[in-house]
Amino acid sequence: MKVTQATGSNSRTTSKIDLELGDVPRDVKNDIIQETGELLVEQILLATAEARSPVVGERFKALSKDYKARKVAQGGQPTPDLELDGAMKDALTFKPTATGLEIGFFGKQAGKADGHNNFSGNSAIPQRRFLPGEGQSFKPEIEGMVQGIIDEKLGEAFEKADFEDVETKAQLYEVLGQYYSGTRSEIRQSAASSSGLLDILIKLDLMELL
Amino acid sequence: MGSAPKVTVKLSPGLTKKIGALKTEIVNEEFAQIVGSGILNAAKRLIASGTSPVRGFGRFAQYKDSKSYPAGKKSATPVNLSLTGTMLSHLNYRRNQNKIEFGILPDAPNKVKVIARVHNTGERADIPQRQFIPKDGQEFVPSIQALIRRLFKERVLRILGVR
Repeated sequence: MKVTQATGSNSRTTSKIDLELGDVPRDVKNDIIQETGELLVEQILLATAEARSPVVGERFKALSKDYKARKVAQGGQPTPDLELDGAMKDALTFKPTATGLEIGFFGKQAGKADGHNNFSGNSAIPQRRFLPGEGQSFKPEIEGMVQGIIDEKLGEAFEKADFEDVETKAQLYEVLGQYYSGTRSEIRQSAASSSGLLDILIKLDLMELL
Repeated sequence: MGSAPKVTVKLSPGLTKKIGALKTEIVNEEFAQIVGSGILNAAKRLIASGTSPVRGFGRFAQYKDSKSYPAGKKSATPVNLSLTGTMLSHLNYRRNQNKIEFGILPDAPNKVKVIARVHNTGERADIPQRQFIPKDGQEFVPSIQALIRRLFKERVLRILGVR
């Protein structure tokens, strides 16, 4: 997963993410993108509510004394949770792209979001980045969850016919390598994320080769 | 009266048969505790952040008039379904054979069940729907599904003897 572009303006503040899925069936790719997009939105909302960034290397500076007092007086939390009336966070969303998704703000909350993320370079307020910039990444826990989604959905791309000629471990891993990558141990872990795939392997009595 | 939907994680028939042949229970008491407490903790964190743990519902609706409610009794943001904490203290899970039930369980006080139902159904015109327990046919959000998947994967691999 790779952030290929980050944009900040009054109308669009987003991160474009390439999920590096390779050549997978379109319906599987669409499922992965949809579920990943939803996951990233909820994890960004969770992290920011806990006053922390979901982006590696980023931290949220504490509120100034004056702003904290004003925020609390208006009904907000005394922490940098990026929420006063909730409008910005309510607008966080994503759109599918050809290789993954674009996550962020596509309308009037974009300016506020760029104030925190400063992709434009024009923000005058402390940076509290919650969308990854180009070359940045989400924290390992989040990327791990995304990988879990990918592993499970990729498993659904296999059919029983793919494995019918398999007799050896090498042949099994060659078939699995069609969608999974890495060492055999990594492929085994990925494959085990898909109960549908495991079911095929059990029916064909190939579990011992895994 | 209470809302206690069953969380059912689908294991395919082939897998269940293989594991059955090994005479091993998939959801034993210990495993139910691990999965149930994992779901409960994850759901409570999301609710505390103002987000529904039910897929498709997103953030909880903001208060219509924060001067009228919560009127300074607590912060107006995030909307976290908690004033005294009583309702959410009854959000729980229990094992039911090879399934895990999650929600406001039948032994919760009636008042708690009513409040939970109001939030989940939106049946009162003056209180927006803020669903936090999945109904039949609904799903948890992707992160909770990912957690359940990971825990079941680890358990299945252990039972099948695959490292």
